[in-house]
Amino acid sequence: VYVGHFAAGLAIKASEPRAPTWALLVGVGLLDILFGPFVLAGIERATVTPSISPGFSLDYIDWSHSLVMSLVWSLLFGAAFARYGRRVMTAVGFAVFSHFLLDVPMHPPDLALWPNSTAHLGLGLWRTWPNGWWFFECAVIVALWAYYWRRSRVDASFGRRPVSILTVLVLLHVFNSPWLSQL
Amino acid sequence: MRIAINGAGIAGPTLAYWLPEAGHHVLLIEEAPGLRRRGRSMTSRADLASLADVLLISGVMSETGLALFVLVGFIVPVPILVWLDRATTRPQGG
Repeated sequence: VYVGHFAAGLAIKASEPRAPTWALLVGVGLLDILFGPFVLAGIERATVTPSISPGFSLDYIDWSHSLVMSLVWSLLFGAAFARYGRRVMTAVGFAVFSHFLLDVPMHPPDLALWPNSTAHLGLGLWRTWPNGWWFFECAVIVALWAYYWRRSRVDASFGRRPVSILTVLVLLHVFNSPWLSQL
Repeated sequence: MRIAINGAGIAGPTLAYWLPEAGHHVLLIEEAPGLRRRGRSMTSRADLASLADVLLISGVMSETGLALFVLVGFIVPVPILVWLDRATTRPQGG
């Protein structure tokens, strides 16, 4: 899941508009933002697998993406927004954890329960549905955006350009399609 | 391993470049006395999948590349989406 995470962040914004948008959007991507430096530092491992959907294999991502570490990152990142009040703190924390929830259907079983646990989660739509996953994620993106758009019509504190946002999301999703990218 | 490569076209020198990187000794053999002044042009309507293959083989796209790709992918769109999400009306008073 790539663009679906951003769509989830926007939906959370719609349900808790007092949460800063940047915090929610960084939050939904936090596990992948951590994955970057973790790989560069040699803590986590991935392999590029061109022409095998989705184009990479996440060999060891237990410190950024395991269930327990996802909860830890959610709590830590949420806690940084304590001064905004409990509702905002919960929204930002849930944004981080939504990354794990959305990754479960797509990832092959590479999501450990905790670092170095033998049990792994993941329904593997990326593998079993090499093109279909794109349409599935597209539907999820549109549904989450529709909620954001509906809420933005009754709450003027966010969502000045919902159609432009949908355009950006769809363009990013097209860029990430199996036909344009093997990453 | 000691490997002889027959022909200094495109594939030969490519192998002769990469095999020593993998620890082999190569001997590149070519019957022509020198290099040709001009080659043939070739149009390849390659899809991005084969481009990714080329990048991987050439070492450009590696684990590091993937990590940076993911990092950039999750950081760059954030300011754009934040800007588009601004409030419809400015809050009154101050």
